[in-house]
Amino acid sequence: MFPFVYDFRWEATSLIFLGVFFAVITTLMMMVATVTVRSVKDLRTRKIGTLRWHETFEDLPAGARSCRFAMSGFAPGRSCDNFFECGTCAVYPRFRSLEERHRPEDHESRSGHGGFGIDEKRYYHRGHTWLQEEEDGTCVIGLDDFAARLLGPNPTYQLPPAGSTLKQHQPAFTIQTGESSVRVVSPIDGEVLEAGDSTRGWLLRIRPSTQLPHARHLFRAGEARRWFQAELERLNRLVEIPGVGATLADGGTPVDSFRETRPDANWDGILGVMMLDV
Amino acid sequence: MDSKFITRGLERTSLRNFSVWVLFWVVVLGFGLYGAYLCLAEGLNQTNMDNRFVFGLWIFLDLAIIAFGAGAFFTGLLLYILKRSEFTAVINSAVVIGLICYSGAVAVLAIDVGQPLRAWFTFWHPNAHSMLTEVTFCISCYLVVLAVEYMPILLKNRKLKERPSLLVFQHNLHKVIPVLAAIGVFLSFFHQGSLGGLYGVLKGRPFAFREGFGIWPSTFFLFVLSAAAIGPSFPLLTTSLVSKISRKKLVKPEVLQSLGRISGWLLLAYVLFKSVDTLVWINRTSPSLLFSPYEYYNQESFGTWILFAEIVVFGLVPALMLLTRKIREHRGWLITAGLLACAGIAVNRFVMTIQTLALPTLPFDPFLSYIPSWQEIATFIAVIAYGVLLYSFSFRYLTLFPQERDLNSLTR
Repeated sequence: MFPFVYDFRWEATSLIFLGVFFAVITTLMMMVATVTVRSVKDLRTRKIGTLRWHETFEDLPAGARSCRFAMSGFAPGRSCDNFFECGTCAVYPRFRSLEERHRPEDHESRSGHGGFGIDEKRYYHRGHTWLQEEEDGTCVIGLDDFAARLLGPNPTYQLPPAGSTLKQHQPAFTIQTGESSVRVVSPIDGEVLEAGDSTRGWLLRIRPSTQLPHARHLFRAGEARRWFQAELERLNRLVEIPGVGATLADGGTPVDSFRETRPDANWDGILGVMMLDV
Repeated sequence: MDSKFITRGLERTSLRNFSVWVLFWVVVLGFGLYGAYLCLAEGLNQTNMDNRFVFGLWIFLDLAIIAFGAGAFFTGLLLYILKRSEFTAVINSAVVIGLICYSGAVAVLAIDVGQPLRAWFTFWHPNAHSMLTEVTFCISCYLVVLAVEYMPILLKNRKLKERPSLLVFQHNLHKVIPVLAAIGVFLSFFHQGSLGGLYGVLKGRPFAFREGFGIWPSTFFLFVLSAAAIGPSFPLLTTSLVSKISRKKLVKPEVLQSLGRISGWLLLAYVLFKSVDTLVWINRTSPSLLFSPYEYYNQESFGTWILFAEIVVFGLVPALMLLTRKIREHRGWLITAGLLACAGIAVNRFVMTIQTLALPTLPFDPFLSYIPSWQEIATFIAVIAYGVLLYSFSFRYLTLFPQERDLNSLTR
């Protein structure tokens, strides 16, 4: 194998063969070394939160990654490939202008909300949180109506203390319900000012790092209605009875606790998939 | 009890059912390992191989499972190099199967050489003129590649990815997977080929000897092509089998049909080349060595039926089935065609090892028959049990089929 090893032959065949072999081994070792060095660097520069979100996003089922313009019908079947970062999405401006030109009333539309409470003043995030700007410039964060019905009665919250930093799409707080625990992602960057509770109608008061109108990734009421409808369809597929398939509701409003309708379903999995904690 | 280790959004059987399944295969593995232990401790006299019949069940197993393991390199080629993104749906499973096949093959080889502690000699004193040396180097390297490719899949386990260091390592490792896939294609091309070349250069065995191109006999290229041809078929079969056992939809039917179609075209090309090669061998190669090819098929066990079965029944028929859209769209027929294709490659590997050695080459040579001993069969079974166990654990605790969450409800 090496010139110092007995029976080593200085001939072309041996040299080519061993050369290729050592090239492969060297490439493999260099790759593992590079990956290790990069990982140490990423850990030191605290990129872990962003990486975790990217990994979570990649692991989401395709149905959870629908592009917002797919839901509005301007980009049918399109999946998001930009980690829900509409602010840096290359196609966002084009589809947004198309949407505003052809369907300006959408922002005001009240049809198709499916019985979920939606507030015109709030911004909605795909992790099922909402964000509302207060007069003093702070924002409050709460869980949307869909999440409340998913979690069922009496969930417990582990909220971050005042002074904590929140990062967009990264875990903000944890909810425990039954045997399940789910991490809820923050809708925006900011600093926690105060922890609330469900009786106050919100869970966190924060000082946002971004002005809300610039937070492109959040949904306004019109979009949120379409999204809730899409989420309800997604949930229906998750709880459908094998062999029967999805069934179509013939009217009515959503029940207070989705769990009660299918107690035998894997609600830990459903919570994770619906609330972006996979 | 173990639900915190199972990927969120996937539904798996109860821990009790899984334990019963695992226990059964552990018992089978234990039996197999006992047979393997006897071979290592007592020597190769525990087998029915001898100085004349040196390649038996184990080498047949090695050749077959290395060909089946080609699914890993070929799916990697399709996904990372040819950018066929639909195969993301099966790549993880293909990697696990590749790892099982190659590690199983290496483990059996370690027993087959009889002195596994001296296996390093082949690396330290390589004979660069030997096809077997090339096979040894490539298989060892590719096993390392597969182990590295398996790591991101493993580190994506729900509990493991909670650890920041493992998450970051997995994330960065995933970025270099295309390079690993390219290395895997390179290594696979050569060792699949050299496994074929190993037989093609046996001038003393006119049944196997072939002419070729440069230093490579035609069997070199036929082995590469046949491995590539069943590269997509074997994941098709395993996915269907796992889907049946777990009662889950794992991938969209279009993905399996796409695998079938690619397999069909490659199998057709293989059958064509194999037919030409057989004709050249019958009319030129074998007569030039003073052997009438018909002599090979005069033996009772190996009539011309085996040639017909290999090329037509297990070659042309599945190729045409896989190339017919209506048949591909029918799940049962698609699986049947995949099964026939894989069986065809197994028959080819059987012919190249067992039939080659069984046939007499000198006038006073008898026809040799070989029936493996129970220890050999037990070792064979151990590899299957090991594969089932590794795959079962991977399927339960890792995400092998990313589309599974989109295709199934989460009801029990």
